[in-house]
Amino acid sequence: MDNTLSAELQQRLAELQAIFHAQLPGRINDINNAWQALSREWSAEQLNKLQRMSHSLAGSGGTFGCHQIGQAARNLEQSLKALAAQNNPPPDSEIRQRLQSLIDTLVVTAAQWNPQQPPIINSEGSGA
Amino acid sequence: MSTQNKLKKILYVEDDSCIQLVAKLALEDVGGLQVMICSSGQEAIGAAADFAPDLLLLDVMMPGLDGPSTLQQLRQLSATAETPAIFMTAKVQPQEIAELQQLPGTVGVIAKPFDPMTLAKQLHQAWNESRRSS
Repeated sequence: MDNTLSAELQQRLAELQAIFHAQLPGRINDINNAWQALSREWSAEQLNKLQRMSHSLAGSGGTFGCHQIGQAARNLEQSLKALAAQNNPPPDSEIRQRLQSLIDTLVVTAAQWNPQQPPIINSEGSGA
Repeated sequence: MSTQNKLKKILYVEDDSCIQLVAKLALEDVGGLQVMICSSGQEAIGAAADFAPDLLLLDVMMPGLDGPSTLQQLRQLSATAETPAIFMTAKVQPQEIAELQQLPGTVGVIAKPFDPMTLAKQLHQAWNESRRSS
């Protein structure tokens, strides 16, 4: 790949990263709202929805250059998955606090992310 | 399914619009491939026959039909009955990866986050290996 094409691709990736960054507060808000709804009324459907949202962010966070967001979302997803595997019992207060803590971490991590670099590094595949 | 010897047409099923954009860039601009993006399994099932892809690229966890269920239904269509399939997933458990690899015609599982600069190369490798072994 020549340098001109690479520079153009880096620019376009940076633009996509900016789109992701702009959409991130909405996605975090959606996760928060899903968690609030689940807290009010525990259901397998709502749990699955929250798990799917966190799973999606676990994948896209790293792709767009914020591995901390990806990891925070993955931690949340794994905890939700473990709950779902127990046939979705309403969790006790200790587990609810742990989930709340994971969501708080995700919220803070997302709020603090300030993308400075395009997400992809070079043609050798060391990025994302 | 196309009978050509070179990978060209990808049917990509992904519900996340941001990931769609990066993958499109990775496959079309970096990889020189022709990509049809569908935002749901149902949309892919409706589009598959006309597009006649060489390769199916499927997200795993999606609302409605998930990736494995989408593949199962695509297998019912003559156009995609034997088309090689690759899953892209943020799932990391070996057991989950192994289960995906057991699905008929699955030739690869790519982890998210993926590297846009090498994604097309990964698809080419998996597709070429599937051609050699078939």
